[in-house]
Amino acid sequence: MISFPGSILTIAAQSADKAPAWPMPPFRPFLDPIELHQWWFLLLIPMALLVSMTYKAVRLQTLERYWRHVTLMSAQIIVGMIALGASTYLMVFWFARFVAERAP
Amino acid sequence: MPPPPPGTTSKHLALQPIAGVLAIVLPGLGHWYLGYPRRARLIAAGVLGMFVSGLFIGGIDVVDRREDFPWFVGQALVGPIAFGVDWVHQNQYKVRVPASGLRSAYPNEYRQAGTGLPVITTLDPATGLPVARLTGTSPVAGSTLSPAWPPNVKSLGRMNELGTLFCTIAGMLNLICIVDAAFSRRREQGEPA
Repeated sequence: MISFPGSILTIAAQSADKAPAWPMPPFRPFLDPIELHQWWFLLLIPMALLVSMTYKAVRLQTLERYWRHVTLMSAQIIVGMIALGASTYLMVFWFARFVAERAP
Repeated sequence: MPPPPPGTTSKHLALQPIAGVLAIVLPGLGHWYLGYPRRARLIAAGVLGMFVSGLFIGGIDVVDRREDFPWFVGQALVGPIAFGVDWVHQNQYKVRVPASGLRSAYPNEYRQAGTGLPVITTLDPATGLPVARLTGTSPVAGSTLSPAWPPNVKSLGRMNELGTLFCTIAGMLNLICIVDAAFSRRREQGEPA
């Protein structure tokens, strides 16, 4: 994670670290958020699956090969999102830096 | 206009207002009315699964007509369920502040049942758990409650974003299903779906 010494976000984060922790209630499903901040990207899998399920239930003429179509579309979404993420990463961290370093 | 029974031929766009309304009432109900029970079950599983997943990820805080109105516009397309969840959120989980109205409870607040007023909690030095001293005119006024947790935890960051997104996508998907049910144009050869 990139930190900016002296920035308001860094100061806020440091202050939060020093503050006494207030106890949190035990997890209550559907009332409290799940603790998946480190693995948030895994939620792409159920999202792709549920989107595909609904879309194919409407779109297909017949439902004979329904789950095959759903699996294929889910895979396409996941691969597409990974490709988008990778291309954005390359654009921001490689190409933009490459251009900036050569700017007059 | 009653739906054409499965097995018949229909090549034109037939407006099905009842199916459209039923699809708004409950995801999949419009297709069930049109005679496609399997398709209806899959739509209901997809749309409701997406909506319930959003609630599970971000908690009830992700459906909030007052604080996140633009997102709620999309979520409302799920139907009365979204309005019901929002009503429960506003009236059963938010605290009522006389000056500013309803808001989510802070981590150190307890929501007093009945009035909805927030009670600032303190930490019990022995147990480390929050303690609330109830106020008002109710029979339990003056008593102490421990542990006094907030009614719900406000989701932040990724979990809030993703929970809100799941619920909103559920609404968008249901819009496709509503349009499909209201303007039924499929089933040229009929199918048992």
